[in-house]
Amino acid sequence: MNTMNLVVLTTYIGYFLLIIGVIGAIFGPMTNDPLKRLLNIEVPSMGVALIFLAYNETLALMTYIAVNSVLMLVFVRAIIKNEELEA
Amino acid sequence: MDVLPLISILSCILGGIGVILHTDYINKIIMFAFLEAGLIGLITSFYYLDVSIISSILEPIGTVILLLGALKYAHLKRTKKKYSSEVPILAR
Amino acid sequence: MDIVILTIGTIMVIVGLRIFLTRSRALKLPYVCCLNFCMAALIVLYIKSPMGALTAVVYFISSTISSNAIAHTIGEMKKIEKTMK
Repeated sequence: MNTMNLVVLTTYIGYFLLIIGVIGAIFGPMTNDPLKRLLNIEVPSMGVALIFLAYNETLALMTYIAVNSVLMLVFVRAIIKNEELEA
Repeated sequence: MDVLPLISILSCILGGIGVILHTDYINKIIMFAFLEAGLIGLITSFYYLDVSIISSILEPIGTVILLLGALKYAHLKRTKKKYSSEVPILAR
Repeated sequence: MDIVILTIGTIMVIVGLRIFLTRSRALKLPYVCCLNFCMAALIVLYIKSPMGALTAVVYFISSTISSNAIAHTIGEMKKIEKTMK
């Protein structure tokens, strides 16, 4: 009963982070800057990780956290290259 | 409910709202570290200790990548604006 | 429920609210460091097994590295703003 309550609460927190992060990444404050938009995108990513955790997908959670770190490196590299090459 | 899941849930909610509402790079990254602390606490309270160890090893790598990117981006933006204001025509 | 866990939980709630409400960014950093230490203590008190101690050790080391990286970047960012002006 107690663990069941924790699982349901984790699912709701995951959906809350997903919705808040998506709305903030589109309409958030000062999102003309691409790096700020990238930092807003990290919030729904953590929400997806919490939903993986609530459905007991351990291997998917581990792989998603590892790939998310590499994805951050690629996006930061692309943003800096775009800023260098722009006139 | 125990203390660790409760505080991890509070940390997740406050971090998620704080990343959206702050507008400076360093404040956003500090709030992101706060959110990651909540995530690791919530994974640990499900007794998935191996996933928690992997996640806590990979967390400073992402933070360091974001910090180096923010530093280089601020430096680049400042130098480019100064250069284009001094030599407006021959910049190409 | 133990008195130690309740004390650490109360400290952590206060520190979390202070992080969210403080304006200055140099004052936010010691609070983040304190929150990471509290989280390591709660992990090692929640899991009653040697693996919990290992998890807390790994979390403590990595969070200290992350906080030191943020502190170093605050100094570098201040230096950039001072020289470019």
